[in-house]
Amino acid sequence: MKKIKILVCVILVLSAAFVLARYGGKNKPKETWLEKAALNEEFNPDKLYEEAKKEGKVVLYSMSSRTNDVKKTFEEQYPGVIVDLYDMRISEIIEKVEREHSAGLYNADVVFIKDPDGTVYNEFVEKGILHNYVPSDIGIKIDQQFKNPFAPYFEARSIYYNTEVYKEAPISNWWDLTTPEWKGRIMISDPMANTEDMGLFLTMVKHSDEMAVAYKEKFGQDIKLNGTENAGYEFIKRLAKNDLILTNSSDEMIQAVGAPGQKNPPIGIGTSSKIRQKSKGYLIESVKEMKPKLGTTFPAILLVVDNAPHTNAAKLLIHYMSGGADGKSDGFKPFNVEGAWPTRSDVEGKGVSAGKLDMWPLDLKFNYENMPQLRDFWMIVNR
Amino acid sequence: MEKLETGLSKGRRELDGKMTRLKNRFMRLVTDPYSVATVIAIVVLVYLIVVPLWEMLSATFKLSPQDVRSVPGAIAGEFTPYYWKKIFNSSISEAIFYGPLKNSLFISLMVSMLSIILGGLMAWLVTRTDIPYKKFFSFMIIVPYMLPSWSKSLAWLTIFKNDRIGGYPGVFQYLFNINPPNEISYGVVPIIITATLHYYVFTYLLMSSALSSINGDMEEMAEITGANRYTILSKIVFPLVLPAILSAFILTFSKAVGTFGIPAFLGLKVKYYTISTMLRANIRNRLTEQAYILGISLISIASFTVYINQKAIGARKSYATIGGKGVRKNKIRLGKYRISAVIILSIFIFIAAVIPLFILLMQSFMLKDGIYSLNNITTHYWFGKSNNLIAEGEPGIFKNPLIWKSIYNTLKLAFTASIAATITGTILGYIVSRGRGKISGKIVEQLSFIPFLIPSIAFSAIYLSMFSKPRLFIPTLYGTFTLLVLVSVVKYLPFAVRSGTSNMLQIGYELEEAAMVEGASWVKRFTSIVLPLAKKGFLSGFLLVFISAMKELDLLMLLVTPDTRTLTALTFSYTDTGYHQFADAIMTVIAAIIITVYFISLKVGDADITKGIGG
Repeated sequence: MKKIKILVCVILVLSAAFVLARYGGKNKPKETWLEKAALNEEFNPDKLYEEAKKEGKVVLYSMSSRTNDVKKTFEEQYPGVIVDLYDMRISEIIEKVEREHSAGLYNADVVFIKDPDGTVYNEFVEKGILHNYVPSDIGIKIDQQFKNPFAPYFEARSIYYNTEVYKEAPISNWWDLTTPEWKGRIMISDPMANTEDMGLFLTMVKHSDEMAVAYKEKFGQDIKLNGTENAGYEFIKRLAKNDLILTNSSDEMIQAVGAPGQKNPPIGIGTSSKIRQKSKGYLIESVKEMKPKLGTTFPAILLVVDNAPHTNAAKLLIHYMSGGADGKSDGFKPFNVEGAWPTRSDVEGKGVSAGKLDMWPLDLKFNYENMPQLRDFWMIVNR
Repeated sequence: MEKLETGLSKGRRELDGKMTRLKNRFMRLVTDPYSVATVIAIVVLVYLIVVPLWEMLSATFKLSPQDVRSVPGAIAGEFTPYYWKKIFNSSISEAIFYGPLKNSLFISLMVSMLSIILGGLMAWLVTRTDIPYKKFFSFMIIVPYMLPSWSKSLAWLTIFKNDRIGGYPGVFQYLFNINPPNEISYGVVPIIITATLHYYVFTYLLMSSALSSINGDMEEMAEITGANRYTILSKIVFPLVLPAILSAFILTFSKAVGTFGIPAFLGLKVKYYTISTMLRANIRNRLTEQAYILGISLISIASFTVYINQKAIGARKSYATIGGKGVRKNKIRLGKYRISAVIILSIFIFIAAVIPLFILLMQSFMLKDGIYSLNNITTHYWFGKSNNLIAEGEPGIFKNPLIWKSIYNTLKLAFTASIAATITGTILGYIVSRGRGKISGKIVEQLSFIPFLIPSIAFSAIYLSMFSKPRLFIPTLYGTFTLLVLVSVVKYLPFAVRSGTSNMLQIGYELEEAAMVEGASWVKRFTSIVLPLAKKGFLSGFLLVFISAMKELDLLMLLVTPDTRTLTALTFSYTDTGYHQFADAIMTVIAAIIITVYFISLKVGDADITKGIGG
C-alpha cells in the first residue's frame, strides 16, 4: 500500500511539473525571439553566413520541386549550411505550419508558398505565425505590392492549347469558355483541392463589372444573371455547367492538352510556369491575350516561421532564393523561367515582360473575406 | 439486556465480517493482476476510443476562428449549431451531404450484394464440392485482398481510360480502337466493380467458415431420401448459412461505406463524390468541423447496420468464431460441371488477381503513358537517374532516397504495429475470454469493437486533431511515427482482439487452474502456459495486421508527414501528380512484400489469416 501511495505522489508531482513546464512562462521567449531575429536589420551577407554556419542548417517547406536545385547550389555556395528541404503541396504546408505552431514544435525556418485565397496572409502573417522578411538590399529594388508579403516573382493561371491543332489561340475572351464549343473539353484542377483557381475566380468576382463588359463584347448584349449575384459569379456558374474535367495534376493536364496526334484536344487551365513542358515534346502554348484581363498575379512568397531555430540561415536562404545581391544567384535561376515574372527591377524575365502583362493584382483581403462564399457557391454549381 | 447485547455484538461482528469481506474483495481487486489488467485496459480503451469520439462531436458545436468571417457578429469558440445546419439544412447540403450520402449508400449496397454472390459461390465451390486444385484456388482467391483496394482502380484507369482526359489512349482503346464511354471509364460502375473485386474476399472468408461448419450428415441424409442437389441447396444449406450471409452482407456494407481510395481515383473526373471523398476535400480545405460531421455520419451508418445485424441474428458472436471443428464432410460431386467450374474460377482469378498486377507492372516500364511500342520501354521509373526531361527530374524509385525512407517507414510501421496489436490483442483477448459472463469482459470486448465502426478516414481525422497538442501524459504526437503506430494498433484492435479471444478460448482454463493449484503466479501462468500455446494464433493475428498495415492508405493519408511518409502515401501523391509509372512501380513493390511475407508465414509458421479476417 505504501508503495502505491509513493507512486501516486510521484505521478502527481511529475504531472504538475509537466504542466508548469508546458504552460508556465510561455510568453517570454516569444518576444525575445522576434527581437533577436531582427528581421528589419540591414542585410549583411558575411555576418549572416558566419552566424548561419553556427546554426548548421536551414529547414525549408517548399511548394516547388525546383527547390531541389536551390538546395544543391546553396550548399555549394555556403558550405557548412545544409538545406533541409520538404517539398509539399500548398495545403500540406499550411496544415503543417499551423499544427506545428499550435503544438509548440518549432521545426521550420522558411516557407515558400503562394497565397491565392489570402489564408497565409490573414491567418498566419497577421497573427504572427509567419513573419515577413525583405532583405534590405533587395527591398529597394521591388515594387511595394510585392513587399508585404515579400515575393521575388509571381506566376499566374494560364490557358493552354494544342499547337498541332490550333495554329493560334482558339479563345480570346473568358466567356468563350462558357460556349457549347468547349463543353466537356476544359481541364482545370479541382478547385476544392487547389486554391489557385479559386483565387482567379475571386478576382473575377471582385471585378465583376469588367466581366460584364467583356460579356457584352462577346455576345453583343447585356448579361442576364440567372440567380447569381454578379457577372463574376455568373461566369463561374456557366463555366462549371460546361462539363469541366477536373484533375489534381498540372502535368496530367499538360499531357492531355499537348500530346501529339490528337484530333480533338481539350484546353487546360494551369500554372503559367508549366509552359516549360514545351521542351519535353508536348505541343503546347499559352493564350497571351484575354478579355477582360489575362488573369490574376499569384506572387510566390518567402516567409520566416515564428520561432525559427535557424534565423540567420533563413535570412541567407531567402536572400539567395530571391536573386542574391545582383539578382543573378543560382538560387533564383530555377524560378526565372517562361511563365514566371521577376519582381526585381534589376532582373530580366524570360517571356513577356511583367510591365506589359494585363493582369488583375491579387487582393489578399478581398479573397480571404469572400472565399467561404465562393467555395459554397462552387459546391452548388459544380454538380 | 443480555439478549440485546449479544444481539448488538452479533450485529457488530456481522458488520465487521462484512467490512473484512469488502476489504478483502477490494484488496483482491487491486492486487490480482487480472483485475488490475482489466482496469488498466478499460481506462486506456476509453481514453483512446471514447474520448476522441466525444471530442470530435463537441468540436462540431464550436465556432472555429476562421469561420468567424462567415457568421456575422459571432465570436470564435462559442457554441454554435452553424456546422450542423450547414451540412444538413442549407443550400449546400445537397452537394456536401445528401448527394454523396446517396452515392455512398448505393455503392456499398451494390458492392455487398455482388460480393455475397461472388464470395458465396466461391466459398461453396471450395468448401463443399470436389473441385480440384483446392489449395491453389484457396490461395489465389484471397490474393486480391492483399493488394490495396485502390490498386485495382489504378489498373482499371490504365485499361479503360477514354479520351475525356485527352492525352494518350488506354489499353482498351489501343487494342480495339473503341473509345470507352464515360460511364465505363469513370464513376459509379468502375467504383462498384473494382470495390467488389476487393471485398468479395471478405465475404468469401466469412462464408467459407460458415459453410465448412455445416454438418455434412444433413446433406447426406437428404441425398439418401432422394432430394436433388437444388433442393439440398435451397432447403438445407441456404437456411443454415443465412445468418452468415446476412452478417457478411452487413459487415461488407459497413466496410465499403467508408472506403476512400477507390472513389478518390475513379470518381473525381466525373464529379462523383462519396461521403469519404467529400470528407477528405473538407479536411484539405481546413473545414475540419464539417469533415467531422461527415465522419460522424459515416460512423452512424456503420453502427446502425451492425445494430440491425445484432437485432436480426442475435449476438455478434454468431460470426465470431464459427468453429472449424473437424466435421466430416461429404463433398458434392460436380460431375460434368467440374471442368467448367475450374475454367470459370480460373478466369475470375485471372481477372481479379493477375491482370491488375500485370497491368501495373507493364505500365511502370512505359516511358510515356499509353504508347504501346517497344521503343517506349524504359527502366527509368525503376532505376533511372534524375533526368530533367522526365517527370520534372524525379529519379527512378530505387535511385530515390525518398523511396528507401518510405520502404523503411512502411516496414517499420507494419512490424511495430502488428507486433503491438497482437500483444495487445492477446492480453485483451485473455481478459475477454477469462471474463466471459463477467461485466468486465463484456466492457472490454465492446470497447475494442468500436474502432470497427469508425471508417479509417474519419478515425485518422480524429487522431489528427486530438494529438496535435500535448495531452495529459502524452506529448504532441503530430508528425511522429508513434502516432502512426498508435492509430494503426487501435484501428486494428477489433481484429486483433477477436483473434486473440478465439485463440485464448481454445486454451482451456483447466491448465491455468492446475498451475494455480501448484502456486504459480499470474505472470508465470501467462508467460509459460498461455503464450506458448497461443503461438500459432499469435502468428495469424500478426500476419493479418501486418498485411492490413502494409496496404493501408485511408488510415494514414491525413497523418503522414514528409518524414513519416509510407509507400502507400507516396503512391497516392505520385498518382495525384500524374506520375503513374512511379506509382505503379511502388505498388508492385508493396504487393511483392506482402505476398512474400504471407507466403513465408504460410510455409514456415503454418499461419492462417482466414479466420482473422472472417472475425
